[in-house]
Amino acid sequence: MTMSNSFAVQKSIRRRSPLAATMEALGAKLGDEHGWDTALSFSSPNDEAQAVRQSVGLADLSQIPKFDLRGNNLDPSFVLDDDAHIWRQRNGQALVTCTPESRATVAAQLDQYAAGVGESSPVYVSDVTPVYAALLLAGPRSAAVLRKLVDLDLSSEGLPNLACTQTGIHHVYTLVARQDLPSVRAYVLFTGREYAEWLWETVSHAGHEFGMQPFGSEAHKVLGVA
Amino acid sequence: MAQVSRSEGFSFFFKDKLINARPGDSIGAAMFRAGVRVFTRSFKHHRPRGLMCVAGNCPNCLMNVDGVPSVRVCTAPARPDVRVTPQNVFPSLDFDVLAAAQKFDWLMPVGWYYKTFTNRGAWKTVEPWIRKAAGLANPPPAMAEFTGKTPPYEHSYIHTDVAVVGGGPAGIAAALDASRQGLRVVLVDDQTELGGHLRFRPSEVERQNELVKQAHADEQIEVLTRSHCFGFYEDRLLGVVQLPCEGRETESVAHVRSERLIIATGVFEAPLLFENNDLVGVMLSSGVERLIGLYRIVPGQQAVIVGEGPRAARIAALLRDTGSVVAATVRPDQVVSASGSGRVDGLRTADGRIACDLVVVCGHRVPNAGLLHQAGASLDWIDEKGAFLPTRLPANVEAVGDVTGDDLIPAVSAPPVYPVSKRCYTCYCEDVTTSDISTAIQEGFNEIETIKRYTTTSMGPCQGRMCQISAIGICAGATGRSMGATGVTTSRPPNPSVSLGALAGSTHTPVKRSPLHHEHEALGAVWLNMGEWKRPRYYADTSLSERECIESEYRSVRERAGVVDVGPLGKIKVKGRDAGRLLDKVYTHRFGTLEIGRVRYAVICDETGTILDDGTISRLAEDHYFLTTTTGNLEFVVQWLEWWLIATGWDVHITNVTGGRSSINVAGPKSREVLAALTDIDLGTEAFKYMACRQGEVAGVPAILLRIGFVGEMGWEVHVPADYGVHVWKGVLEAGRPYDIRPFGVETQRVLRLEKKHVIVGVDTDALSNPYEADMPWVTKLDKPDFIGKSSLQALQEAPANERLIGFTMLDASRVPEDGTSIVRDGVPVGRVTSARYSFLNKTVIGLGWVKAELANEGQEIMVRVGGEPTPARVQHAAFYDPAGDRLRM
Repeated sequence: MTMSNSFAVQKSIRRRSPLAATMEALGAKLGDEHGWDTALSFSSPNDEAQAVRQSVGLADLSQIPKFDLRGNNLDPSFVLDDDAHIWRQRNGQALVTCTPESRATVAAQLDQYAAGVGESSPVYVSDVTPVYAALLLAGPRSAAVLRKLVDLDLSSEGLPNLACTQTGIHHVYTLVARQDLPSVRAYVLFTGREYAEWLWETVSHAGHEFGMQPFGSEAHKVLGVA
Repeated sequence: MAQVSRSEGFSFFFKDKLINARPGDSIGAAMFRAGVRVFTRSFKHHRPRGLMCVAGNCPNCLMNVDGVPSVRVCTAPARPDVRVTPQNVFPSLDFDVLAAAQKFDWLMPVGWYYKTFTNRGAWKTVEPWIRKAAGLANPPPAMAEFTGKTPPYEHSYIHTDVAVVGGGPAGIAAALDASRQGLRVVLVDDQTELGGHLRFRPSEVERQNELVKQAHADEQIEVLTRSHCFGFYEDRLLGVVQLPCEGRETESVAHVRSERLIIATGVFEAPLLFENNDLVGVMLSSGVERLIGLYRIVPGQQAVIVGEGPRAARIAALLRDTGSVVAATVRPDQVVSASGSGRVDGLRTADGRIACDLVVVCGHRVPNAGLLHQAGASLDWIDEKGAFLPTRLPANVEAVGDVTGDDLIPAVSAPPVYPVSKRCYTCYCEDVTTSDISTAIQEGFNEIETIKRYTTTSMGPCQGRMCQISAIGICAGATGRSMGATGVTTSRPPNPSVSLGALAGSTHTPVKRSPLHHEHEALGAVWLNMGEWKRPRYYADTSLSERECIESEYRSVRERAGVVDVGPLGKIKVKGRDAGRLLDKVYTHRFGTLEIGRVRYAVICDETGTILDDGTISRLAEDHYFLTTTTGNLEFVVQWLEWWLIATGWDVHITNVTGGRSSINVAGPKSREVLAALTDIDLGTEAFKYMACRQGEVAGVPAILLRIGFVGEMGWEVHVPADYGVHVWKGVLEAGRPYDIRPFGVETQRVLRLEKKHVIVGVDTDALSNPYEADMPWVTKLDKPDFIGKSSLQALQEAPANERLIGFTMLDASRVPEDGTSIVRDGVPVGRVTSARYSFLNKTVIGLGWVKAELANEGQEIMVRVGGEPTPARVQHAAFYDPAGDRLRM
């Protein structure tokens, strides 16, 4: 089975994150990154990065490519290149994320995997990039913010780096994936796109006591992620 | 001893008096230092009450602080500019007319609710006055909708290896020990600083400082101060309320989960029984220690100590160090009564009266074992200790320090000797006296649990801390039982009490927004909350009334073209080799044989044949279906599909793609022209028939198009990836400009669909509706293999209908029934209206409703309640607009 929903869209049409209006209201400088209206920065990228390193920051990561992988017998040993990650949610379901630059490669790898399994246990791949919003919560106080929202053991034993778990924030389904940046702890919160603005506001309130500020894609790069 | 810094102070207001405070003061301490002695009036008798425990246990200092009622000011940290006012007084603390209640306490014996004013007429007369006088405080003013950055209430979830409750020396030692073993620790203490009793014992300050320093420096230990553990729940879940203090603005409830729980909650002190034991100036010994040790306040000039042994000696020495005179130390069994009018001026003993302005009571030392009791431990009476001690602790729950009773010495014999008097108070919160309890026992309430409920002792703010030990002693003595056989009442959370706001937490009610939300905002949308979704009800034009706006939208759809955001519709992708099989099992129609490129109306029924949801199912490929559901039932339908898939082994995968699709419906006689400008898909009548689906591009974006017609006009539902939603919406509005296309909202959609008699499941159907009575027998295919509800539907098909869903037209076009109003016959309800609206089409009022089957005949006149008045209407089964459906198939 090959991936449905693969498409080529006119490059002149920019894609809009579910948090685009929120970013604009926060005074983000917007720009085109990989076909998306992206919040590049709010102030100086270095200052934003420093604020994250010292405490905690929040960024919109909704534009990252996301694929839904389904199959009754998904191979647990199937891996992708370093730029991608497989977040296994339960038996038969996983969410694959990658960087925008590696999207085509990852899509091809997933297609190849799906094509290679037998008819007895097919695998389905769908592009679910628009289905989920993704918020990046990063910094040494990120766990302190998150524990105001989710009833999870956020220690290194409870949720190690590159592990994920499904939970609810005020009963809204959220996939919490720990994906540390090179120098700081970080979590990506995936939720239904329709909840994006609400989740941003909720996380912002939780982070207020720690001086949490938004940061843009340029600060994200400074923090060490390509 | 430097508990209180001598650096620059600040001030706050008590009524309109300015009170000076020092950093580290509690509100009550600063007020006491300023000369305030009466802090409140008691609940029933309105007797003046002053500081007694200074530990936040008794009810004697409950005051209103900045609008928040019943704050224990003896421990609440003083802050600049707060406003403190008394409560439960009329008109003032110093002169409270309701103190006259003491003269009428013969009208209020124990259980007086059941004895006095039993005559109905008398009760009706006095009830309003009793209600006015009852209660302890006024609720805080309604909180304005939160708009700030920091919410007033929050929750947090803390997972740890060891939770230690109690930050005294034993608790700190236990925390440090656990940390040394490499374990994560949370240490909870209700005071502003760790240390427990070391904080106010002069000889222990250095030890306190050292322990506290170690605890704070240890990175494995998280310290929560000014935090009360109010409950033990299943699996060692602790409820902890963290009160606002310096560095914390919100009141927060922490859910603390641990593998191991250590209780180090120490002991609290409870008063002894003698007449007038509640006078202002009668204080517990630990309260005196706190006033002196924490705040450097001398509580009185001339003191009498009630107690004996080392504890009494220590208190006497402490008082003398402050310059007070200790007039006498008296054994508890020698005390007759305290004397004074409101404030104590002496203590009467067996040997005579001793003048004093302070009576220091070395009271019962009661292990603070409520949490252990909630955890499942037993509380057994130990005579040598004079206390109920925790035993038989459950696994992974330990007790350390004073709560274990290791160093306890009884304050008095048990059961105690006490005067049966109307002025000897057992329960300070509820003004329950030894006379009340004795009377209750004589009346047959001779178990501690029934004494509690009948007299209300231990049911007040102290939750039994001050009174339970004495009440048990009275019960034991009066009934001849031992203290152990009398036992304790059940400990239940929350203890201490927690504000409802804190339990509720932050008010972040989830909100769902369409990808087009801000476009609607810019177009003047008037919002409607539909569950969690925000949807435009209509689009406002300031030059038009609401009805005119809706009519304008309506006419654009009927006459030209309109576009509505249907993003909130549930959208589910069902893929897999066995997808059709699952849909055939769950839905009432056939879908396994649905042709690729076709759409079918779809209904789900439960096992009883009751309609649960409806929507559409489009077959996009051999193994790929695209489902829509009602907005409110999306999560249910996903779960329902998953549920019926379990254990089948079928190859089916269900994905909720609701938020990932931006969905709009372009409808109207010009809708084809509008869309044709944006797509190469052939939209012709034959090429793209009604109830067909296609995939292609719209405005350069991949799209799924469904030709369906909820509003009764030719139209297409267009689904695109949500990221492109705004682009496509703007493209449609631009392409529709030559035809004066208008966006339309939910209210207009409701009028349009009602004219077609299109049902909304959950509005026009309920928990009793089946497809036959709902006038849609065609959705059930009873000749297909077994499916959910088949056997019930077979029976329903053959059975006579009880009710039927009908359309109706009001005979008076000015009377619009409310949704839900009754349909009546001879004044008796025989049905109900589900939807009714003014129809701009024929300038009539139309609706849908359920009536008894015998009234459902075409043309039948029925009576609909409008404004309470039965109003005539006529039954109509055909659609009110285009009954043949020709406009849908153009």
